[in-house]
Amino acid sequence: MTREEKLDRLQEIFRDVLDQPGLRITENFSTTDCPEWDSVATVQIVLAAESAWRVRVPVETVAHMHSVRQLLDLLP
Amino acid sequence: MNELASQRFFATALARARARHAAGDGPAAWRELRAGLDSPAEYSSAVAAAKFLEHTAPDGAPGGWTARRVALIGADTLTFFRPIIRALAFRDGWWPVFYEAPFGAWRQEILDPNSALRRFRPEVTLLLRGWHSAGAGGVETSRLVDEELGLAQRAKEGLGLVLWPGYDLPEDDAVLRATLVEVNARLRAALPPGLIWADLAEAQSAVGENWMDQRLWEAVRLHPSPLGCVAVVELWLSLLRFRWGQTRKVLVTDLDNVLWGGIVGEDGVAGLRLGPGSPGGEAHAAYQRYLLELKERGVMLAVCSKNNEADVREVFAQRAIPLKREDFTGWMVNWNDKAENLRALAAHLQLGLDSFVFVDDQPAERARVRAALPEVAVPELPEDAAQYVAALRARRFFDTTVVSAEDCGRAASYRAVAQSNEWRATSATLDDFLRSLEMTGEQGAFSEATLDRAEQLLSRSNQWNLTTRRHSRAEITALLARPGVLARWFRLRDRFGDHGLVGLWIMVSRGEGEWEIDSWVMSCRVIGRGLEDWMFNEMVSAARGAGGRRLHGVYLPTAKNGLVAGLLPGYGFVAGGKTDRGEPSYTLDLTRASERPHWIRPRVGGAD
Repeated sequence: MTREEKLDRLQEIFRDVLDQPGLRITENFSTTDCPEWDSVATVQIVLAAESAWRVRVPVETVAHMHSVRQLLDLLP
Repeated sequence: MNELASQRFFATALARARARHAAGDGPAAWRELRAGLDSPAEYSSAVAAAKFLEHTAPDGAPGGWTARRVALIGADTLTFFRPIIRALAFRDGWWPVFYEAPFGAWRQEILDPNSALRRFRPEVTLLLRGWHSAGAGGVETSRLVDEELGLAQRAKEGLGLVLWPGYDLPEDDAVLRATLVEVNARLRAALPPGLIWADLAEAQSAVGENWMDQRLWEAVRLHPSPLGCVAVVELWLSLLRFRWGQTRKVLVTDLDNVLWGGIVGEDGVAGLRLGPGSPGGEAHAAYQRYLLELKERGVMLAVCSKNNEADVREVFAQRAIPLKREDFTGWMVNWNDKAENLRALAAHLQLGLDSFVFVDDQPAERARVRAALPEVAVPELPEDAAQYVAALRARRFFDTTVVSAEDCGRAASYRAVAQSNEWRATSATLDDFLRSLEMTGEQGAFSEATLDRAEQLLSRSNQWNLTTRRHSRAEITALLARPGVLARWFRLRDRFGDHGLVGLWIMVSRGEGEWEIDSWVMSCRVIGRGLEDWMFNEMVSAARGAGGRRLHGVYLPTAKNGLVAGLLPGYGFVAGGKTDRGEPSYTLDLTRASERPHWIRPRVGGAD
């Protein structure tokens, strides 16, 4: 999967979790861009990404994720 | 269905729901989504479902879904539970309106009479606190139990149905584990009446090693894991279904590749995989043993299979299999449409389709039944038969809080109903039929031995139920302790079998010779036998014996109890006056009431 394809798939997940159907995300998209992106949303995003890619995100990322890039870097 | 197949199933349904919604067909969108939720529940699916639901129904409970105020209180992060409850309650046909207590403030919220929790006036209060909150290292059993019981005592008023959790158990701290096992046992034994025990340790053992996700505990204080959260919500919802009289009663099973491996019409009787010694056969034997266990607990079993009757009889006759032909109360082996078969079966057993669970390995059959009969529960099945039982157990279709002795005789009794209905077709008149049943009855006052069954009758009976007051065991006990309360149970036998304790009434004195019917319930198994006539006679004579001059009654209509709408006028009660909620109330002049004829011979000296 290319980085763009991964970003497309992540965008779907972000739209679902943040309930913003028209949302467009970039690698730099971060918690400061979106007040709804709180720790609960982070967990929901991580869980959705984990089941989509069959990976396991480490605790540091779950606890301190604030941008799309951090997650993108972990995905195969 | 492995995890991926289950996700795909849900994702497809969600996509269909979105398309329907975009096309402006809301009800169809919701039907699609509901079908999707028949796949094994999964955290991410629940989140997506909940988002879709809240998006498409922004103004709260949509048509047909009952809104109920639900409070979530507890020690850790409860926000994660909301989407799961939203999605699975929607699957169950209701719509939670949430209040979530501030993180960790559950004790104060219970104790403070003016807390936001109490002002919310919940209809259901869900409490959760895991073993982390018991305090690691040096928990003192008695102190913890006393503190919790004190809180529980305060929680029983004003918070609706309160589900009080047992502690889950830490895997790696043997001392704390032993302490909490003891705490659970003592809490459960001393739990104040009116509270409902939610056995988290049991839910935990079903989930196993994935109960905790250490990462999510450290990162966001999530206890237990997302998978564990889903199991907890399934436990909560099953307890609520039980209290609301919605526990399923019938499991309808397919045969080929479900009850046994292979297809009898193709593989032949000897070629079927069943039991040890045939590859994959052990899984089907395990499924049969699960069905037997359900049957022992009073769940009815029925077959619905497209097959030649003769082939199937041969399997039961020739193969050593756990289940026997007689274990099935319903038998639909033919080539008809399965939805039609289920309708016929429901009519035959005199039960609503909403008490059915349909188990079939063919996705097309499942889809057909879901579309035609939305009341029937149609779980998605794993592809691997070895996982059938776990998938069905996880849904908790048949869980009851009490397994009573009556449960165990119930299947036998329903089979007797099915037989006696066949008999009815050949009898001349109804009176001939009733007389030929050779019915005998017993009645008595409630005791310890009959209270569990009384609670079940009150919580499960929907059709023949005058007031649908769902008194719990504890509430019945409290009621019976009051002066001026008369209550009686009724038991019925006939030449086909013992129906067990199938009816009860409770009357309350208003003083000065005025009595009122609080509850009058009969099991749907014995509708049409005239048992109500005998119960009525006994009611009149009991009230007279207690100095009664007038008996008042009210019919409280629900979606299902239309059967008894005309009951009171039929017995000579005269309409007049209204309750404070506007239902018509009826009065019977006890000095002029006359005996009703019936065909039940009372047995004298029956023990209760």
